[in-house]
Parts: sequence; structure tokens; C-alpha cells
Amino acid sequence: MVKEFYLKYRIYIIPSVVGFICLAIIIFVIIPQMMDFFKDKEKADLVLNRIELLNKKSSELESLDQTKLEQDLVTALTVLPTGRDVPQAMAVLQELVAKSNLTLKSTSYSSSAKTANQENFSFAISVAGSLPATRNFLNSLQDAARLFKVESIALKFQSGEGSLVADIPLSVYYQAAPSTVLTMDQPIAEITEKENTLIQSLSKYKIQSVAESSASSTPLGKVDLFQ
Amino acid sequence: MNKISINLLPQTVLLERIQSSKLSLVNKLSIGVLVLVIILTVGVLLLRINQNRESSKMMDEVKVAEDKVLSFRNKEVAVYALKNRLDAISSKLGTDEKVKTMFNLIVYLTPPEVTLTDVSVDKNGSITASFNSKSLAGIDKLFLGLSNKETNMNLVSKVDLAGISLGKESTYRFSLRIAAVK
Repeated sequence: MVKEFYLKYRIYIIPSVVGFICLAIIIFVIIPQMMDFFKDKEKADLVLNRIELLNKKSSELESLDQTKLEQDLVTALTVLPTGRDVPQAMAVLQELVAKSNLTLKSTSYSSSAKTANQENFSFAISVAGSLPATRNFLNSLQDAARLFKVESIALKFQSGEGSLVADIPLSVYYQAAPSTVLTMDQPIAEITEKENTLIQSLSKYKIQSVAESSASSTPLGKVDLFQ
Repeated sequence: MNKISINLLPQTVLLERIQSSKLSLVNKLSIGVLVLVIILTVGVLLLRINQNRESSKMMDEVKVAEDKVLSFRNKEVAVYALKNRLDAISSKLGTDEKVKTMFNLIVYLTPPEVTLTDVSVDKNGSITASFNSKSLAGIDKLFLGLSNKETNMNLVSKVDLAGISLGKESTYRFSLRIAAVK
């Protein structure tokens, strides 16, 4: 009976077996392997891009001047420190007052920020002198070694003397160090031409430390008002 | 000359031969297909092996590139910190320009015959100022200067006379409220 069956269908047996084996090979080997191949190819393209980016990043970093970078950072950190550094701000203010030929009559410090969500504190200063000296002082604030913002100006002229008393509340800025974690694939922060100009102009300002300031440079007040 | 062909074999034998040659052809074709599929499979597997080798080579390259970037970590941190600082400084610089400009404007536009006695500029640039003047012409000049868009550099939106009085020694005392352009 088997022989009869074989003789009747022998023409179909081998092609069927071969077809079955081929189908099994295609389904279980070729298709999964090709799918993995394309998946891995996509991954490999990404890895290649990453290598290219990392190489570009490292060559860009290599080309940067470490010394200049550190100097610029010191300048920027002096103008906008990570903490309040009230004595330094006071020293800078005293110096500007003295340079403008004004007399510092009083200073009051407030730790509260004038503007919400901003890291700043307030200095209310009262100075005496002439109008040109006051204007000079206001102009010199923008070139100061700290970031000051003039909140308002109130001037009272002394009758007949040409002198005045000016009350100038100031906000002094600082900014905590960023807490962002740098990732390997993050591109390098690009310093624009405008920012380069800014850092150059900032570095021209005389960066004076508190230690450098002396009582002799100011007409009034202690070196450190908070001692 | 015509040849005469005579097939003396029985019909069943002939059919069997045809069947046999058909079977042989089908079998050969089947084996051929199987061989082709096997060759294809081997090709695919070789491709995968090569891909895996390339992939591990690339991972080594990534490691080298990462190590190189890591060796400049200090520079990268410095650049990031500098950029962060400069962004903050740029955004804060000149935020008080209006206060200073308005103050300079009132000082600049006050004519010599008018004396500024009190001036206060608030954070919006609005000015409240008191003056003394010996003549009305001086007051007029100050008003004109503050009201004219060319002389006030388009910084003033409104000038209000808050009060005026004639005091001793025929001196006019007056105060102005000047609103800055928003």
C-alpha cells in the first residue's frame, strides 16, 4: 500500500520536502537574520554619527585656549558671581563712588530680591556731590566689576550750593552655578561673536577684589561694612 | 529517402519512461532550489558575522572617542559655565537703561534759567521733578523741550504740570510729572 502511494505521488514527495525545508530556512533563519541585519545597520549608522560627533567635539575642545578660557571665566564669575559676595559688591560700589568724586553718605543692604525669581539683593545708597559727578557715577555703574541695576533715582538739590544728595536703590545680581549635568553627546556650548565682544568688554573693567580695596579709596565707611 | 521508424515497445513502458524523466527533472530542480537557499543562508550568516565584527570594532572606536572627549572635560565644563554666565550677563545688562536715560534727559532738557530742585525717576522711567525758575520763558522752554518728539528723543509720552506757585523774590516753583514711553 505504501509502495502504491509512493509510486502514485513520488513526483511530489521530493519537491514538497525541499519546499518545506526551504520555507523553514527562510522563516526561521533568513528573515530574522535580515531583520536583525537592518536593525543593526541602523544602530551602526547612529554609532558612526556619534563617533563623528565625538571626534568633532574633541577636536573643537582641543583647539580652545585653556588659559584664555579660564581668564574669561574668572572675569565672568567676578561680574556675576555664584554667590552674593556682598563685600565685593560693596567694595566695587565704594570705588565707583570715590572715582566719581561723590561722598557716600549711607548704605543699606537688604537680602531680599527686588524682582521675583531673580537672584539679587538690594543696596540703597545715598551719595552727596554734584550733578555731573552723579551722572558720571550712574554711567560708571554699567562698566562696573559687578552687575548693578539702578532701580530708581531720587535727587534733592541743596539750595544755592549746587550740590545734591542722591538716593539710589540698586539691585546687585548673582547667579548660582548651573546644576545641569553635562552629557558626553551634548554639543559644546558655542560662544557667539556677540558674547566674545561682551567678554572682551567685561575684561577691560578693573576686576577688583575685596582685599585690594582700601579705606583710603573711599571718603566714608569701613572697608567691610558687615564686620 | 524516407526512413521508416517503428516503435515496438509497449505503450506502458513509454509512459513509464516519460514519468521517470519528469521525476528526474523535478528532483534536480528541487535540489537546485535547496542548494540556492542554502547558499543564500550561508551568505546571510556571513553578512551577520561581518556586521557583528564591524560593530565591535565601532564600539572600540566609540570608546577611544569618548576617552578623548573626557580628557578635555575641564575645558568643556569651563566653556559651558562661561556660556551660562555670559547668557545671564547679557540678559541683565542694560535693564536699567530707561531709568538712566530718563534721568539724563531731564537734566539735559532743563534750561540754564531753570533750577532743578528735586527729581525722582522710578523703575518705569517716570519722572517727578520740582523746579525753580525766575521767568515763565524758562518754564515754557522746558515744556517745549519735553513735549517735542525730536528734543525728547521720543522718550516722553506725557508731561503733566503737577503744580505751580509764585514764591518770594518772584521765583516760580513748579513740579512736573513726566511719563516715559513704554
